[in-house]
Amino acid sequence: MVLVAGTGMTAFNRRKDGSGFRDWASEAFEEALVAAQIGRGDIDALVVASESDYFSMQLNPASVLADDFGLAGVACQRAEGGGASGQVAVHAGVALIRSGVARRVAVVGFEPSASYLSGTAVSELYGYSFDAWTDGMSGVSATALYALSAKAFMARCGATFEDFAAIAVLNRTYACDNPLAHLPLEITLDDVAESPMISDPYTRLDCSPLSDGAAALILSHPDAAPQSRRQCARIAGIGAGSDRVRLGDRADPGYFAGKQIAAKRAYEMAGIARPETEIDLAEVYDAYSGAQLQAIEALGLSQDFMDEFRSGGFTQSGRLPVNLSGGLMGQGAPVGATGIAQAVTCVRQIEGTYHSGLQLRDPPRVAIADTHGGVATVCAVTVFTEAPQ
Amino acid sequence: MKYQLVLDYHLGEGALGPYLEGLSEGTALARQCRRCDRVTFPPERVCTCQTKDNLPATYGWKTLTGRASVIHRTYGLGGGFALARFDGADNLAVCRIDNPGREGTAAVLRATGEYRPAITIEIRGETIETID
Repeated sequence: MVLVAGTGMTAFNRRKDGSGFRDWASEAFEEALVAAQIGRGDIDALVVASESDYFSMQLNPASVLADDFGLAGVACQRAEGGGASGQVAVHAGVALIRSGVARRVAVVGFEPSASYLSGTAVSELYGYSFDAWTDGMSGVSATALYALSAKAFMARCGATFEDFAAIAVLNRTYACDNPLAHLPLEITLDDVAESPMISDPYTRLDCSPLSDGAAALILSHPDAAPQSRRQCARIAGIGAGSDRVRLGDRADPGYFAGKQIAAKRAYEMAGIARPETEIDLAEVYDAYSGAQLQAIEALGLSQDFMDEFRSGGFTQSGRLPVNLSGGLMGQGAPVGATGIAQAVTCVRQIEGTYHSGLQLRDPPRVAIADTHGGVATVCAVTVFTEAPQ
Repeated sequence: MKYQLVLDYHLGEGALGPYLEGLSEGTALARQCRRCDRVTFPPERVCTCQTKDNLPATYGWKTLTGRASVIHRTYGLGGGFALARFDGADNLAVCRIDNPGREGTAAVLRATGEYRPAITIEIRGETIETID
């Protein structure tokens, strides 16, 4: 059991103020440090999440941020797993504490995905997130690969364009109550259908944006947290898994098998035997609208996920609210920060301190955060729980 | 501040060399496991039969006809792409569609040249009579 003693995150958006990733990371770190009620001298280790040096123009970013944070002398490392980088870093921090190597760990994720490079350049670089030597050489984009996976999913499960569009609308609606969100939009199903086609079935509004931003956690061994923070939310389980890197090598290109493996491991560590009834809140990796449904399926969140989705079971007033933050589509997606921001949402929801319009009246007891890199190739799932009563 | 980085890669092709050379010439060169006969295009470095046990396997190259069946396809800003199964292969391949406007599921491999060799197909309709 590892405590999340403090959380911090910046707004996710396209920065136009001349600030840089080192500013954002410092802002998130300082907020988490204050929330944890500890000093920087109490930190034993720093784990930094960032997907790509191409975006930041900074190799070895952990060394730079350790210095910026005033943490010279701590053990520092970078964790990377594509879109899963943030939660891979969280897992690395948990492992440091559970192994006894560290007592308090700062986990900080960032990415300048929006303002440093053109969208065209970033999209091309994302195309190398997959098997660059085979699929990547074709010029296939991330959107096209997700679209092919979605087509396979639709053929098997009967999901429709309208189902996907409903998710795109709902997540942007949630973002309207999230002051840190990149895309708070009041849109309709028709708006989604009429926005430019990127790669069918996905229109522009079915896609998550490229965002700038940072997020941070202070993790602590239960005995090392300040007395005032010992009733904070905790990490009860972590699980990671992987799938074949090429869609064509998978038994079903529309099923996120690596995510299912990661979830099973996280649930086992947390003692969750029936995820479809024991989980109260989920932040899942909706890089694209259809990927949210694919995630709900693979995470085992419902016995009949399509029927429950269509009947509103995963909305704010439903049985299991999903992506109340707005998800990647609404809150935004600065890659290295994404998984950590999901953790921030889960922790604040459990502690009852989330944004007022989105805070669940009965704070969740158990929440999960789910991320992946590639098309659900590198997968990481984390289970958060309230403090024991 | 402004900054520009220009990179010119010369990538070592290694075990993928024969496959990539085949693509540049329009030949579908698949990898075949001599232990279980699984044929993969694009090639797998380690056969799935190896993941079930640790018994040794050896591999060879097998030339496919270059005919393919499109299973799923997507069209958009970046062009057309498909998941297709090449005749004789046990896996699917992500392919660029050379003629995205054409209907049908029957396709053939096209040569791409030496720059960025990748699986590129031309859709021929519902059936293919001959391959040129």
